[in-house]
Amino acid sequence: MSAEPRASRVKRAARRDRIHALQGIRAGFVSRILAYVIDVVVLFVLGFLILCFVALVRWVVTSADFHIDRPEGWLSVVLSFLFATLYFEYLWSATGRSLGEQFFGLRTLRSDGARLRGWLALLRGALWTAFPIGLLWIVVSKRNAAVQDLICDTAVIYDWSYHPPGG
Amino acid sequence: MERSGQQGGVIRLVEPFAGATGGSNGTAEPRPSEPPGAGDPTGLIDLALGAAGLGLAAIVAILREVEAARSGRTVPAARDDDLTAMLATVGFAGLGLAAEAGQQAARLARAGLAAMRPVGDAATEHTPLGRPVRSLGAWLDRWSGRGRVEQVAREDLAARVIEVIVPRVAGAVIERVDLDDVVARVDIAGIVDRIDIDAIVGRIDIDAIVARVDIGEIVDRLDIDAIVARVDIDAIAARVDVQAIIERLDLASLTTTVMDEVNVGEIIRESTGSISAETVDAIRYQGMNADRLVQRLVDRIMLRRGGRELTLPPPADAEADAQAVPDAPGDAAASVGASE
Repeated sequence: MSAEPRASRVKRAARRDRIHALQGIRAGFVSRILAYVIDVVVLFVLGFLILCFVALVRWVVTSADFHIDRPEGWLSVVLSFLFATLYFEYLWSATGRSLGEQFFGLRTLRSDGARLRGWLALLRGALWTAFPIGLLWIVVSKRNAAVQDLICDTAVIYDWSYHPPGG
Repeated sequence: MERSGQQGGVIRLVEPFAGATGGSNGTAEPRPSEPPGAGDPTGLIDLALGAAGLGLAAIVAILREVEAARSGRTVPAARDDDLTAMLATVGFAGLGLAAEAGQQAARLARAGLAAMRPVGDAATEHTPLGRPVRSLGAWLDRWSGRGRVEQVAREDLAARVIEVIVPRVAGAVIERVDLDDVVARVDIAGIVDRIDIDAIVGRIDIDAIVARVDIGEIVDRLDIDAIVARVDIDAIAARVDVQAIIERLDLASLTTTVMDEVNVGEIIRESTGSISAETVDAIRYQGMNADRLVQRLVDRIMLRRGGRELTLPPPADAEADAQAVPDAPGDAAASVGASE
């Protein structure tokens, strides 16, 4: 490490200082939309794994052939909505970050800096799942707030440090 | 006679060329140049007068020595009124007159001989006087030849006598001469003072001398191994007080300084962190930059001045932040900031 050129080290130090200065600052649109995309991908993967698990149980328990069944119509929509809402609610109230936010070093908090909990987290999860278009408000918001943030009085900040769940 | 004289003249004219063409017949050898004064009575007179002068000077010097010895003085003083000086003056005056007279006489004799020679030659050739004159000449020639022959033997005898006498005289002289006294008279210091050492040294071209010296050859001659073998490294090492050196070093402060310079925590984190962690950090950083880019762009479009209010009020649950510990890989940069 000490063998690397001085210029490179200086550049790294400058970058580190900049990252450090941005900790605790409200995150912007690009990071958050990408985190949301990751969450959506994760949710689809998790949902597919759940369907696989259900199919496996059904194949073990019943004599039917093994095939992945997708809920039909409104049931599928409702179940997906509930699953995503619970996913966000659980992670926000535990660590303050969903998996996508974890990847991009973001943390969702109340606007007073406290951990998001209970019904408020559930509400924000529901709104987050139902109206992803509300994210676009971040682009023009003076405080980088999505519509959901305005409703729930929450904020998403850059926070690369580790906080234990439930703190 | 006339013919031979003409032939001789012709031969003499040809001589220089004969030498050049290599046709030497013996007559081309150059005659040795005669010494000055030979055949000239003036030279003889000068020689005689010079010898007389030397003799006169010697006599004067001896007389003075004698006079001084008689009067008890060591250094004879030259006085104009004494007899010796008068004798010397008269003697040298006589020499001068004799020289002048001799020169005049020689000139007259030359002129007279030159004038009389044709007359004499004619008289001896064509008068009854010729016979007695010729017989007189033959008589003189005979005795002259005999004298020359005997002169050789006499010179030989004289040379042998001189050979015997000179060493004896020289030995006697050397015995008398006190060499120590002679050396003592020599002013060595004065000689040394006269020698301009600076000038001598100034003439010496030191650069040229140095340029001649082949340093490489000298170094080649040096046996470095032998020199090093003589050096007792152990003795040198034994003299070095390592303990004193260590005591002088403030190892504690040195270590602290080094540890301050080296961010050990970061080194450990970076060395334990995986490549994926660095990748995640890079992606996060790129996301931050993209966020700022979009914000600035939109703010400019919306003519928003003063930027955005992006700082959050300090967290109410300070305990949670106090419990913050370094995250798994990927949170290196933030945790570094937290540790500072």
